[in-house]
Formats: sequence, structure tokens, C-alpha cells
Amino acid sequence: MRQIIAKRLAMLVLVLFGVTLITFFLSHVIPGDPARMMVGQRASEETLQEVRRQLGLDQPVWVQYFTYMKGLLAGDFGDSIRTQQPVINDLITFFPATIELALTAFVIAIVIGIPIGILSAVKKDTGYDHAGRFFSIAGISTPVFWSGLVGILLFYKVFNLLPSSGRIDLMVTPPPTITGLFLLDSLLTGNWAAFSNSLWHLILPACILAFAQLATVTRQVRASMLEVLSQDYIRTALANGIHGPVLLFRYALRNALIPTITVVGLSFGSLLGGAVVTETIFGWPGMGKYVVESIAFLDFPAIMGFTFVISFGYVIINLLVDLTYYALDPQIKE
Amino acid sequence: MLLEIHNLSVEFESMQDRVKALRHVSLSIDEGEIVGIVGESGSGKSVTALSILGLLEKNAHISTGSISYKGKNLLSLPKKEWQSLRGKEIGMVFQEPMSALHPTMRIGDQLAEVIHRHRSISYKEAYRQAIASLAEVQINDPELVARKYPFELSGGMRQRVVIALAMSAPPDLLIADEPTTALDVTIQHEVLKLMQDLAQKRGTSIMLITHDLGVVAQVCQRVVVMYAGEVVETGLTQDVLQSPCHPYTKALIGALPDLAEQGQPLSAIPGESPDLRNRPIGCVFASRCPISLPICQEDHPVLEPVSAGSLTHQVSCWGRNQE
Amino acid sequence: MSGTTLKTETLAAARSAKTVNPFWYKIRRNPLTLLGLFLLLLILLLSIFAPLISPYEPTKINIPERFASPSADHWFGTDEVGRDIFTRILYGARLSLGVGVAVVVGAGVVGTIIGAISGYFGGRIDQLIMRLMDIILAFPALVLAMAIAATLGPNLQNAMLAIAIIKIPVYVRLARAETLALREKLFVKAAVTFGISPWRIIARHIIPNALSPVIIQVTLDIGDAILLVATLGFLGLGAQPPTPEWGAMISIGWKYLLDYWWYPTFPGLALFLASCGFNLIGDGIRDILDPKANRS
Repeated sequence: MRQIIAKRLAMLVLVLFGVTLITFFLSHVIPGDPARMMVGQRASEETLQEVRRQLGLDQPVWVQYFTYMKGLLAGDFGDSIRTQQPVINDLITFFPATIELALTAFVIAIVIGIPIGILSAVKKDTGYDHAGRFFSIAGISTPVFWSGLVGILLFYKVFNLLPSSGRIDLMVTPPPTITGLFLLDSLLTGNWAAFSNSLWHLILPACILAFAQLATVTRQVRASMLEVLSQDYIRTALANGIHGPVLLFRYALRNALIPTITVVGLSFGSLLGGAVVTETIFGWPGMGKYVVESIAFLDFPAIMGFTFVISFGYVIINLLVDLTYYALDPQIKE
Repeated sequence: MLLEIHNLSVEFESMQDRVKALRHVSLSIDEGEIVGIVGESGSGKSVTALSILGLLEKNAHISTGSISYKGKNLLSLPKKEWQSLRGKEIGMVFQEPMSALHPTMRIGDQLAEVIHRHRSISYKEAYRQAIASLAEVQINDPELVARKYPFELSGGMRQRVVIALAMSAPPDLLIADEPTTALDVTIQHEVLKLMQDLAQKRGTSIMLITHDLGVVAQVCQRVVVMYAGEVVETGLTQDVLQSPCHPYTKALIGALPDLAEQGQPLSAIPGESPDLRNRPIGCVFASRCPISLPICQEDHPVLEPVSAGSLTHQVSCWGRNQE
Repeated sequence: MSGTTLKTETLAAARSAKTVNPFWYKIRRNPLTLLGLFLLLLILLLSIFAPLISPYEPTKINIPERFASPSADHWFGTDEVGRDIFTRILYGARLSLGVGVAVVVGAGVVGTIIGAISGYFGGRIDQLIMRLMDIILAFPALVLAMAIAATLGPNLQNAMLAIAIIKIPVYVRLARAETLALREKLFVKAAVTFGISPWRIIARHIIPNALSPVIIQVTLDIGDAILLVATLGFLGLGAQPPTPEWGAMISIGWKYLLDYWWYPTFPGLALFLASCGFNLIGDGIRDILDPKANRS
């Protein structure tokens, strides 16, 4: 087991290395003039020359890469052209909002997706199954920006139930920062007003974001359950009188969840991608909205900083998922 | 009569065709009996067994017949009642011990869950009794084994666990589908003996499905010979094995070194098993039969007693009076 | 006599025995696939016959009619410069379908070639290629596509390139897996003994036989590709206005959601239906090829 962890960690380092290579490649090598990329289209000639010198663009490429890596390890992604702040500071500011959104969406997707997947599997080829599968395919086919807009149209304009943007109303004071997650912080400080208001703002974007991942979860749970239910040991259990919820949950689901976790973990990547769009539509002040605004500005340090941080997180998540998989399967443990 | 199958016919529907797996199968099992069901692969033995428990696949249709257990017609039972019957009154042991047990659940838990279900006791108590069950099926060090996972056990041990599971209620009828086929020859004898002893102790009847006549000779009081989804001969073991009537039975016995006559060459059965999608109109064995008569091609024989003196020994063959 | 009754019964059964038609059997079990087929055909026909269906031109500006709400004249309303949205959606269909198919087929072709090379030659080349693919896969898809498209410059071609790059690793892995198996087959080994050059072997023997999982994957990926292109368009990284690309339309239209709801809603609906159609079909194809069908 320890050997496996060591191997995976080695892979992790290699992959992260590769990630830095690609981001370096994208930010320094491909664009004709990295200095121009750094300062943006609107800077003056002197600034450009100064930046060129500072960036060491007269140095050979591998030295530049080395400098880049040194900066990365120190958490230095350069300064954002738009905000004039170090990119890393910007990212830290907006990080908690994105986490809160992504995590909530993830939880919703799992809590709703797993039961639907089970139902679909158990009632295979019936009306329930077809409905479940259509729902699942609809989730994958729906562009997040569209579902977000439709959601706002319905719940804000037509039904007037939910707000259309922001994380919390201007009139309500946000809770003191403990974790940066408004829901958690307001609970911890007993601030009911902030809690309910934050929740009210969080629900729609989280559900919209969850919808796509829900599809993946449902599909995978259905496929895994079908696979498991066709196994011999389920037949043995049936023959011995085990049926109903006990059969489904104690016998079938726990084995069906193993491949599900892997797939769900991998789909976290598309969740992060989807967050970018969702935050834009809902004016959610997270990293996604930040990078979209940066794109409009062609703010390369910000774009690359974002890319690196998100990808880094994604790689770590995948590693955790892999390790969980190994932990759950006793055969591999030995 | 504990179990009575009467005129059972089962078809499987697939994309291209209909496979008629069982045709007018009738057999019975009484309390405390051990009955052997013999036949080659494809003879319908497993289908019969699965029908009793209602575990046939979704594309199976029961076109005729009834299965009567303790007087109740199982085929007309609602799902819930069937569920309560399984394991509690009718138990089943399958062929493959390697895949029959839940791979990520400990042995003790698997047994305890089933025991907890059948005997109205707490889970804790069920776990204790699970360990006792393991000892009963002659597993050494039951507490240790109870904490293990199936992949840590040998084939013989796993099959013992499967037997313990099936016998946990204990059921009145145990269906064993080729329980020893996948095991080493040295273990086979032990496992069979174990089943026999347990059955005797609990008064359980056994429906023992096998292709091995030697097993039948060792353990079964009666035997039912099946071919291509039909019963071709049935009777007391000593009658059928010593005075076989159906050409197929004779060929089966002739193919065994132990039971064949000494000095005679072993006989193999020429030809191939019939295509169950298009059943012949006449006798299903006719194309391979050494004593086939013209009537065998045209008309299907029925199961009837061999002679007036032995009503229990029945055979389905036009040539039954030839000897 | 009982014998005769049995005989007649068997004859009667033989006569009435029917064979089940495989095609309808499968469709009956999965009506969703049919739905997907229907959707796609609809969109395809609409896009092909766009000029015949709509009297408007997709890029013709008509300020007096800007922001007209849906009516008999303009089924889906007009946008901020008076262009008919329904027309733009029809022409946009050509774009989206064409782009989606082109991107995925392109990725499929390139990926298959790379995968076959990687699998066939093995060794260092294989390791290098696979590590590269792992690195590409280490990025969340949209994020990497955004980064590439932003770097190369925001236009449709670069967006297509970015998405193709994202999709390539899947095909490389598929083709490589097939190649590894094919490499051991007798007919390939025979070709080697005949002295045929490795490139010819890859081109003539390996790739044609590795195609079937690739083709399945292509059908599954088109729906996703269409969405990705549109998303990049929405973010301003893909097709630029005034191109009637669905994502680009929404990138402008979304700001008008609350006042002129039809502007972003209908292009989005078109995206949804197109993607849905492809995904339903892909799902159906996968289902048909799935051997595990019957357990109760």
C-alpha cells in the first residue's frame, strides 16, 4: 500500500512539473512578445522595455523557465494588469467564494444523483429508467450559461423567489472571516441573518452548477449498479433471502460506489470549469469571474495564475480520489 | 409431498429467437429425500432450479406448468411472498464458490446478515451464531475466518461458507446446483458428506443437481435424468443405475469407468445436443439414439412406468419395452 | 392418445413461433435513441435549408426593429441591431454542427495516429507521448481550452484548435490500447517478417482495425465539443460577433436577459437540443453495444 502511495506521489510531482511547463509554454513561449503579454496592450514603450529587462527576456529560454519556476514556488504569478495587485493576492481573495460554490454544487449533485442512479438501475428499462436517463443526458447537454440564465429568468423575474446575483445583499453584513465560506462562518458565529441571506443567494447558482455533475453521477451510479447487480454474489444474496434496501445498500451500493467515486472525482474538473461560467452569470465574486474579467483585458498573468492554481487543485483532487479508491477496495489493500 | 413440479415449460426470449429451455418437466421431492438431477450442460437442470426460486432472468417466460411447494403454487405467488420463501424455506447453493460470496464484506458479516434475517434475533447474537455455523461446516478457527474476506479463503472453504449460508434458516429444501464441480476431487467427497450430514440433522431435503453419476450413486435416494430440457427417466437410484431403460441413461452409465461393465469399451454418445430453438417434433434424443424407431421421429414419448411392478421407475421412450 | 395430442401441440407451436426483429427490439427498449435521431435530423434539415426557410439574412442590420419581441414576423425576436434571431440560429446551426464534427473528427484522426505510433513503437516514444497526454489531461478541460485560446488569440479557429487539443488524449489512449493488442496478432507479425516498413504497417494494418472504439468515442464527443466551442464563444474566446455562432450570440445577449429574454434564451435552447441529440444517439449506440442486458 505504501508503495502505491509513493508511486502516485511521484506521478503527481511529474504531472505538476508538466503543468508548469505548459503554463510557461503558453505564457512565455507562444505569444510573440511575452513582455507585451505581461503589460497588456495599453502600456507604454518604456514600461515595455523595463518589463523586458526585468523578465530577463534576454536570457535563454531555460533560464527564463527557471526564473518562472522560482516565482511559482514562491507563489508569485506576477501582477495583474487589471487590478495592479499581485495575482496571488487576487486569487486568495476570490478563492473561498469559488470553493463554497463548488463544494455546495458537489454535495447537491451527490445527494440527488446517487438515489436517482439507483432508482434508474433497479427499474431498468421502465418509465423511471427512461426518465432518469433523459434527465441525466439533459444535464450533460445543457450549457451551464444557458441553464443559469433560464434559472434567473424563472426564479428571479417570473417567480421573484431568488436573487439574480451576488453572494449576499448589500444591506446585510457578511460574517467575520473564519473559513471564508459565508455559510459556515455565519453558522459558527450564530449570525442567522447572514446565514439565511447567503443561503438564499447560494442556492440557484449551486443548483445550476450541480445539474451537470448530477448527470455524470447518475449515469455512473446507474452503470455501476447494473454491473454489480448482475454479479453472482448478488444472486447468492437473493437466493438466501436478502432483498430490498438491505440488498441495495449493504450489498450492492458499496461496491457500485467504488468506480463511482473515481468518475465523480474526475468530473470535479468540469465542475471547476463550469464554475467559471456560473460565476460570470450570477456575478458570484469568485476566481471564475475574476479570470473571465481578466480575459476581456487580455490580462495574461492573471489568466496563467488562475490556470495554474486550478489545475494544481485538480491534480491534488485526483490523487485523493485515487487514494480513496485504494483504501476502499480490500483486495488491493493486501 | 414437499415439492412438486408439474409440466413445467420455460422459454427464453432473445433478440433473434425463442429458446425453449424446459419442456413439460415434471418431478417431485418428498420430505427428507435427497434427489439427484442428472444431465449434461444445457439439459435444463439449472433452469429448473432457478425457476423454483423465481430467480430466472427477465427474458424468461414460463409458458406452462406449475411448481407446488407445500401445497402452494409458487408461480402465482406475489413477489413479497417469494422473497420470504427464499433462504428461509428453500435454500440454494450455486456452482461457483469463487464468485458466490460478496467480495468486500467479511465472512462473518455475510453469514450474520442472513442469520439475522431468518432467525428473529439481534445482529450481535446472529454474529455469534454465524461463528457456530462456520464450525458446523467444519471450518477450523471460525472466529478468525469470520473476520476474513472471501478472497483469502480457498475454494473448498468458500463452498462450505456458501453451504452454511444456504442452511442457516434451516430450510426445508436445499437446492444444490453442481456444488462440488468446481472443487478439487479430494474436497468433493468431504463437501458432499457435509451436505448429507447437515441435511439429515435438520431434516432438509436436497435437490442435488449434477452431471456426475458417481455423486448420485453416493448420496441420492432417487434420481431424475434430464436431456435437452426434458425428463427422460426417473426412479430410485439403484433401479435407474442398475437397470437403466432410456438409451441416454444407458449411454451415460456406459461412459463411466466405474459403473460400466468391466472389459467393455467406454461408450461415447455420437452426434450433438439438439438446437433448443427448433425442437424436433418427435423424441428429442432420436437423432443420437442407437435404437431409434420410425415413431421416434414423428411422435413425442411420454413419461410412463417401466413395468407394472415398479411404478416409481419411469421412462419416456418408445422403445421401453424392447428389452 | 396422449402421444397424438402432444404431437399436434408441438406442430402448432412450431408454426406460431416468431423470430424477433433485432432492430425494433433494440429501439423498443430505448426510445431515447429515437428521440436523439429525430432531434438531429431536424436540426440538420433546418440548417441545410436555412435560406429557404427564412427570408432574412443573418447579418443584415435593421435598427428600427431592434429588440423586437417574438412575433409572427420574427419568431424568436430580434437582437440589439435588429437582426432576426431565428435566422441567425439557423445559420449558426451550420456553424455549430460543422465545427463540432470537425473538431472531434480532427482530434480523432490525430489522436489515433499518435496513439498507434505510441503503441506500435513502444519504448521511449511511448513513454514520452503518454506522459504528455497525462499532462494535458491533468488540466480541467475548459480551463486549459481557455488558456490556449486566450494565448493564441480569440477567434473561432483558435477555439477549435484549443478544443481539439483537449480532446486528443482520449483518442491517443484508445488507439494505443487497440494497437497494443493488434501488435501481437498474427497478420501484423507476418507483415513484419515480410519486411514491410513500420509506417506502412501502422497505416494499412493497425489503424484500420483500431477504428471501431474510436468511432464510438467520436459520436459520444461531438455533443460535448459543440458545447465547449459555444462556451468559449460565450467567454469571448471563440467566434467573434457578428458571426452568428450560438455562443457568441449569448455572450452579448445575456446582459439583456431581464429586458429582452428571448435574445439569449433561444440560441441556448438550440445549443441544448443539438447537444442533446448527439448525446442521446451516442448513449444509444453505447447501449446497443453493451453485452450485459438481461439480469432481473
